[in-house]
Amino acid sequence: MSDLRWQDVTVRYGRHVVVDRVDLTVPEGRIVGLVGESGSGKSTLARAAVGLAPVHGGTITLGGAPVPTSGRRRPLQMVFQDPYASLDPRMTVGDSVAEAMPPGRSRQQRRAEVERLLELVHVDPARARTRPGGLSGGQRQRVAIARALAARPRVVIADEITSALDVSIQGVVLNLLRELRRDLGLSILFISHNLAVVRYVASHVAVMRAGRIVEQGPTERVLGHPNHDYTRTLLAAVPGRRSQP
Amino acid sequence: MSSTANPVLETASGDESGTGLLRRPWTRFALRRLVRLLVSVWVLVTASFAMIHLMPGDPVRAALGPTAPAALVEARRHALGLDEPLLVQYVHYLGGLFTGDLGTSLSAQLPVSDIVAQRLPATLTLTVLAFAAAVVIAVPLGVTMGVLTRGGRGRRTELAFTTTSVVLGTIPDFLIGVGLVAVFGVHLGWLPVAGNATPSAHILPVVAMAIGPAVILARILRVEMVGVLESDFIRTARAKRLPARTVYFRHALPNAVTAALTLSGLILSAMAVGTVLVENVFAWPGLGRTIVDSILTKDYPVAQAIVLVYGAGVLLVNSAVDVALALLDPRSMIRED
Repeated sequence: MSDLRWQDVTVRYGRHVVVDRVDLTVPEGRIVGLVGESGSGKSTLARAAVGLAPVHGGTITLGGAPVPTSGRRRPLQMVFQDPYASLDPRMTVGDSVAEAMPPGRSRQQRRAEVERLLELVHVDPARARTRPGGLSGGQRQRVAIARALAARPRVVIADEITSALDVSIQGVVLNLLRELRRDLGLSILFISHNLAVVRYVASHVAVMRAGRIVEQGPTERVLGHPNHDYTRTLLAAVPGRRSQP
Repeated sequence: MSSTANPVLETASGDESGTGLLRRPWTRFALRRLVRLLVSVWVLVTASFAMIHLMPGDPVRAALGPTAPAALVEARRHALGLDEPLLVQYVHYLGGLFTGDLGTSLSAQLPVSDIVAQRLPATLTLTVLAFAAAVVIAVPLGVTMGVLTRGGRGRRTELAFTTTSVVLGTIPDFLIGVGLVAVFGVHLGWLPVAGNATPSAHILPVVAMAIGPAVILARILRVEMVGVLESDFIRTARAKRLPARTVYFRHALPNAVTAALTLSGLILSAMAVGTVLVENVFAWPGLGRTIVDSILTKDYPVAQAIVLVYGAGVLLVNSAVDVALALLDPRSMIRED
């Protein structure tokens, strides 16, 4: 089992509590959506798991063991929102992907792995020598996913990865995530404020507000028959959708 | 149907490849830089030619002194070609430059090109060593300060560094030189204060020239590092659990050097010109000291040639920086379009 689990996790910046005693589980081989308005603590919760935010209380475990926050083992990988800024502009696509690989491979093996990963995310392997500036937003985001996969993670955290993309490109990236879950058995925490895309990719969903999880469960149940007022408010805010009674 | 079977298409294809070359950013960049360099060189050469003619009075009379016989002055004017029409002199001057003939020194009676060739290595050595020292000090200092003060951390460190660097950066290098001579040469007697005969004689002039530029460069690098360290790709690198040195030196530094590189070009140019004062403080046998001597003795051909050498050096450095910037950040040459 390699469930990613937050148990009673609190994150504070000074006196400001950003994440307040949160319990959340991403089961192995599932995509879990995490929704909520801006500033609700979604990204901070994710960053705490990879050591980018200070955990004040509680535990974060992967497969029952604490997530390593030092050393080169990287079972948890993040893909960030802005595909235009998340790749080093001076590094080639191939170098960015190869850098994330575990050590101990020959140059030839790394090159072959880069090509395999680029193919996996539907980017032409010939683009390995290109710098990010030569790629579209959708291609860059797929390269960012390939970079995350290069570390051979057990869980990938996708933090608003479609927010900066055109609607037409969003579908390509979302389908890729579904493919990766199906083909690689990858667990994914999919963070978004867009309920429609969460409904499309996630089997489970958690709703976060002011640093707390207010509701979680299977996607169809939570988004179809919400129990919490805040979830109903979020659903009512979706353009073109009437609020649930 | 292939295009090679159709002569019309062949012609079109040929035309396209011709204009295609001009469409390449590198070709357009190289052409722009070449034209700019040629115009600058022409302005520099013309200005240095005009220098001798814009002097109030007769430069030959000034050089030989008020008591020199009129026949001698006339003979020297004739020997220097100063009695010919201005346009003819200009053409001769340009022709001389192409053949390496910079004229004859009024005081030493030696070819100016020999004097320049003899003094240039000392000035180049001083400039290159001072620039290298500035970079060697500035890069680790700027990177370290950037890391220590990123994201609003280390406010006191930032204040101390900024204050010290502002103070050191505003003191002229020749004043720093005088201070160094007083402390390390006269008071402590550790280092020689004149000439370039021994390796230790290089230390004080190099330090005097390097301190100001080093702290200015380090400040720019710190600011750039602080900005870059907030970038998403640095956060990605941290999330990858890359070692800190890889994050700072492989990802952050290359993205932070663009502004520092532009500034370092200006600094190198300023350093070359700054040798004029520092060489005089340390009695350094280079072009800087020679130009001051030639101005004092009114040896205009020598002063004229050294101005030309300094100007050419500045143009060369600026062009090299433009090329280096374009290599580091190809977007910079596209933005010029």
